[in-house]
Amino acid sequence: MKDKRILLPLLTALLLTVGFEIGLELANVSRFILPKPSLVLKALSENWPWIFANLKVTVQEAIVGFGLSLILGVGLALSYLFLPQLEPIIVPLAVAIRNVPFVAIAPILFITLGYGQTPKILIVMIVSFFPIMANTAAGFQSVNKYQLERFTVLRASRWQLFTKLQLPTALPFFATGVDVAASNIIISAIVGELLGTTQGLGFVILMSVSQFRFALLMAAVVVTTVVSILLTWFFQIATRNLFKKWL
Amino acid sequence: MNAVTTENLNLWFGNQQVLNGITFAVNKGEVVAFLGPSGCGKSTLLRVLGGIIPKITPARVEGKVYLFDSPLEETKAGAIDLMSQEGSLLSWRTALENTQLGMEILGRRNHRNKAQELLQKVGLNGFCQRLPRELSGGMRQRVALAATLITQPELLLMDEPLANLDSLTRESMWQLIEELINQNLIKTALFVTHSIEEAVVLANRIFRMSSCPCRIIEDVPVEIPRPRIKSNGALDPSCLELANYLRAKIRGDQ
Repeated sequence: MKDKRILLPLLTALLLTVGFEIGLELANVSRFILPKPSLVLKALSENWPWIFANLKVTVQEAIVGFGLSLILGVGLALSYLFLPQLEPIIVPLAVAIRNVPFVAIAPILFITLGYGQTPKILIVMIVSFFPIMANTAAGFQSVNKYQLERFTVLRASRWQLFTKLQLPTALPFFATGVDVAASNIIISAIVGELLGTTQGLGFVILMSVSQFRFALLMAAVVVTTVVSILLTWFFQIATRNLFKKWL
Repeated sequence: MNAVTTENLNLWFGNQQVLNGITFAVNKGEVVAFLGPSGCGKSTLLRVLGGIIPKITPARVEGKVYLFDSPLEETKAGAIDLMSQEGSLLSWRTALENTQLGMEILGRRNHRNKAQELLQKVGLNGFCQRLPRELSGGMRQRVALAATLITQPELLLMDEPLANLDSLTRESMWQLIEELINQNLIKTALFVTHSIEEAVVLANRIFRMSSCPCRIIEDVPVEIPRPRIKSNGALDPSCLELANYLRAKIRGDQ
């Protein structure tokens, strides 16, 4: 069953690639409009050291930004669990930050933080902290009524209530937040890079477009997609294994 | 000594009065059932006695509640425990771990053996390592019962504990609870039920409640000797007689 879940998508991708190759060849489509998969593969192998060096930069931004979003998201959810009076302040603020069009404010970020990795890390964090915060907070609030009542009757301390009931109840919700957030981290890092950078996969994409090297552009797109899927899987599997008992 | 005493207990949720002048005294060792129409406020009363209302559910409460002749707020931790309908077990804990939870909260040690003994007593020997989802509804309620008994509470509150069970499972649970009452493992208990037979089988006294706002209409003593369920599973004829009396009265109330 597990093999099927991996093999079927791979087989589909392979069939689509072969289909594209044959279709583009038969239709005689220009490589400047849509390059054939064989050309993309060639561009990928020829430019792999350069792509890989830039890939490392993007992955680094994505992972650091994601790590910070975990701290921020969980921290905010915890802050208004323990201080409910903060909720009316934190939630609207978080919604506002989440909805800031970072494409528009990117110039301000680059002016204040430079063209290095910091503004991209910040963009990844802004995009991914919200699902983690919202899901974790929803988890804290979804404690079973009867369980909460029993803890109250037994006079459980605030700490016991948190460690023995609220935290374990919230873990599956937190895992869902991680899933949602992780699926966006590579894309948001690349969007950050497209707005201004001299390194990263976004930079590879920008350079390929400006030099009309569409096979290289498609190679960067393929790498981006594969890495994004792999990272999402990694975090999904990591959280599923880490929190297996509570899911 | 009275286990529970209430004096002119009134409760409002907003403008809606739910409890109306509830006054009663329950002696230590008594098992009392609250019987009345659905939504009348029986469960609310139980939650006031457990200190849940108004602590986690906002309400205006007037009147006095004493447990073991002390005000409710001064009752020591572990003196009361609560068994609810399905859902009170923690899904990530095994039957054994769920049984031990109360002891952990009270900071008492060396409870593993005791938890195993209790699970054996409720007929779940061999199911200690099962998660709640791996148990049937009846088994889960047996675990919930063992979990409430481990702290040896002076007062056990039960809110429709068997409501979600099929009739055969419910009857086997009646037998189990009767045994636990006879063995003094259940000391004083107050329970809410919709089942007239359940009240008659388990209780020493039945408080017949009015519809909302809830007040006590009748205090019915149940002086039928135990066991009230015969070995063939049939109810004692006196139980059936009392159940019929109560059914007629409750129909009249509605």
